[in-house]
Amino acid sequence: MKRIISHMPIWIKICSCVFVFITLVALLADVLVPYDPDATSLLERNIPPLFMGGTFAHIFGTDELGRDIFSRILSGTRISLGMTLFGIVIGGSVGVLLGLSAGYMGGIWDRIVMALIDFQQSIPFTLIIMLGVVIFGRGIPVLMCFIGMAKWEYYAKFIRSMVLGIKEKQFIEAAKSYHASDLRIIFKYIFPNVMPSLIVAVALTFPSVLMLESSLTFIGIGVQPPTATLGQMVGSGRNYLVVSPWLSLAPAAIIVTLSYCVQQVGEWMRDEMDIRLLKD
Amino acid sequence: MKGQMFRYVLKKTLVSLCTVICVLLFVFFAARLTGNPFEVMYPEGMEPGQLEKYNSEFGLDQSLIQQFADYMTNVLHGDFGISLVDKRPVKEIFFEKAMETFKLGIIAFLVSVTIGVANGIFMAVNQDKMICKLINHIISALYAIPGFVIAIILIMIFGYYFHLLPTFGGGTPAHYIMPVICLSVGPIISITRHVSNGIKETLSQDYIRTAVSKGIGRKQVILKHAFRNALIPTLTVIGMVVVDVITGSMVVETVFSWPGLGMTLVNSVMNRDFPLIQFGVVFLSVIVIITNYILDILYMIVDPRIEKGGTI
Repeated sequence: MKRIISHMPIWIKICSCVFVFITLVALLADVLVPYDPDATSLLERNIPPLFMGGTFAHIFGTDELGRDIFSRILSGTRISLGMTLFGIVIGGSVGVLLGLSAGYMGGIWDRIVMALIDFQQSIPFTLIIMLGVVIFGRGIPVLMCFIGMAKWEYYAKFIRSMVLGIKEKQFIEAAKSYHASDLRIIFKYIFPNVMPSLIVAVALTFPSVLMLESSLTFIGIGVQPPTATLGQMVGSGRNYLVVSPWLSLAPAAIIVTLSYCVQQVGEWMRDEMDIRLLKD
Repeated sequence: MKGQMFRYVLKKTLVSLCTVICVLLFVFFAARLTGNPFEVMYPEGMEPGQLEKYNSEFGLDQSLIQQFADYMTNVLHGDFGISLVDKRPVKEIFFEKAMETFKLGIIAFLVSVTIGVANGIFMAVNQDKMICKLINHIISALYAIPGFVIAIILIMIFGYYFHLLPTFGGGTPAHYIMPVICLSVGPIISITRHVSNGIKETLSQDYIRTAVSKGIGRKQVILKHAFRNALIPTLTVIGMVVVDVITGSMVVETVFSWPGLGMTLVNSVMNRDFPLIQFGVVFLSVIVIITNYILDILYMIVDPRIEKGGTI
């Protein structure tokens, strides 16, 4: 761990610190928010942020209903980040399990998984998410599951091809020769070898999952108002771009910062470990 | 040789047809799970008997199997049902709107392929120059910006600040500029990366060194030897670009109030308009499946090794 950090170029260090900072702030949102993010105050509508002539009471200004933007961004970041990370965990677990089993077992199961991957890639998945949201209602857990399912095939595909390579190695043969069970081989010998690439893959998919989540909430599919997510705040703020541009720009800046930082770190790790499977 | 080629094409055709049928099945049953659309359209409740009347009118009171059989028969006759909200044939609404999205999409597609491929070659050939390092940084920064944020920034700058471009609706050529930019930024980046990585990789191969040592010009080596081999990853990314443009159009059309498919679909999801959603998902999936099918055939032409190996 210490070695990894000392290897980091300064820019990557900054990016990781920014990401950790935003995550910590989002985790502590309940304690840090100065106001209730959903509380309206009609006397304090459309106050500009501090650097545009506002007051210290609302450092990021207020929206058309007098809600404090800073508080809404904090709680919105927590929801958006939470949905993205849980989405990645769900998609990652499904993809890892299918990829490991398909690569290890081969045969008919491998073909089925490959067919599923092809199917997933040949349909515009956003439409499927829209359908799913209609079926199960607009809600955070529903959206989270569907967002997770959007990326499973990415994990399944690269893990399968990694397993195909590892399977032929001698230490697997050695394990087989003393009758280690298949499950033991998969989780004790193959999985640890896949793990570093998996971490990089998570970092590399993070921006696209965050963007998927924020695009969906941006067009109004997903989370019910008044719950704030970053995408939803950008979306509802776009009607007031002339009078109060900060309504959209402040949450948009958080989305861009988050995805930029994680993407930089991910790409650095990929190049450092030289994982060719994850190029592009 | 001929037989292998035929088998490859046949296999790809069958797989594509199966995928279409899977999509039809999936979408049909998913849409039926959404509950009764009329209860959503009339949240205050309906007159007694009204629900039954609507149900029998739209065939919602029959069993699922029966409904699917009817649906498939109609689909094969080219009849895709009547929109529950507009009360007009789905096909009619669709092709009216699809034209608008198609115009936008095809322009965005051409723009992103041209700029992406040209940029990719440029980046691979001059990879050590300052300008390319700069472009690389710009690209990775742009990659982190979602399309809707780009849209909002463009609207603020060109729409409200300089009053140069219209911010919503379609019609004049000026209306196309901002939506096309928003739709093509993402695809341009992925094409650039694919093409330049592909060319860089082939440029380091032995046969390129042989070609260079034979004394044929740099241009020849890149276009004749390197680009042809870099074409295969480019073809893969073009399939993804089509999906990107289709899904991107939903966001972009919503932002710019473009009177196209994307906006219609977003609205139909909100209204739980079964036939429209069904047709939408099926229609767009079929476009993607056909694109992938054509690309598969193209792979075979570009790289004849594939037909022997069978899979890629």
